[in-house]
Amino acid sequence: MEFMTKFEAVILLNPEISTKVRSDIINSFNDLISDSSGKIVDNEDWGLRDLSYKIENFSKAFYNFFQIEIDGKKIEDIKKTLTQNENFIRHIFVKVDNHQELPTKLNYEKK
Amino acid sequence: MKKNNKKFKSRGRDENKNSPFEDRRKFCPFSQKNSPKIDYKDIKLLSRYVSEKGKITPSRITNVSRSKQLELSKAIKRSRFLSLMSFTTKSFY
Repeated sequence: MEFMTKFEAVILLNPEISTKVRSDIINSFNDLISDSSGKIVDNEDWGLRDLSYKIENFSKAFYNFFQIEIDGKKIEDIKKTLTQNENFIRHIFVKVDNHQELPTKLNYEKK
Repeated sequence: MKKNNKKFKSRGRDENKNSPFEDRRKFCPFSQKNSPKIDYKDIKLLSRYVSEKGKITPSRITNVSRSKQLELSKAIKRSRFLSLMSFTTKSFY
């Protein structure tokens, strides 16, 4: 039995990669989720943002936001593969009851 | 008798109407009808509940209810982890 639960994911990527590599990485992330029988409801690109403290000596990072439906047990394996990749600086998965409407407030304020 | 009456009056509401300590109703800013939702992505809202050194302000000062304070502290910690908020300073004023 598979229980599809709703998650939000935020990913920080290495700021020094080119745009082509970056889109490849995001595609690979999409494949990771679709391989583990999940689906991406919506996604959002927050672009290059300043970090409020240095992570791995980077002062900036690419932010990507995803709304996901997936079986919760499979997230552990996804996290494992993300930590092995050097281009992922940081990632977080948050369980939510309902997906909120986009755009998020963070993105909205920037404009 | 008269003295006693006076004492009783001074405790009443009408006399202390203009004082800042009396008759101020406290309410939780997150449990009202149109109150905003706590979200780790909404930095501007979260930074209102953080001291100048980046510490989470206690609920006895901000009047946030017990259950909402738990949500709030969790949200602040999440946004700190994602480097949206700083551990040591306040980002918005």
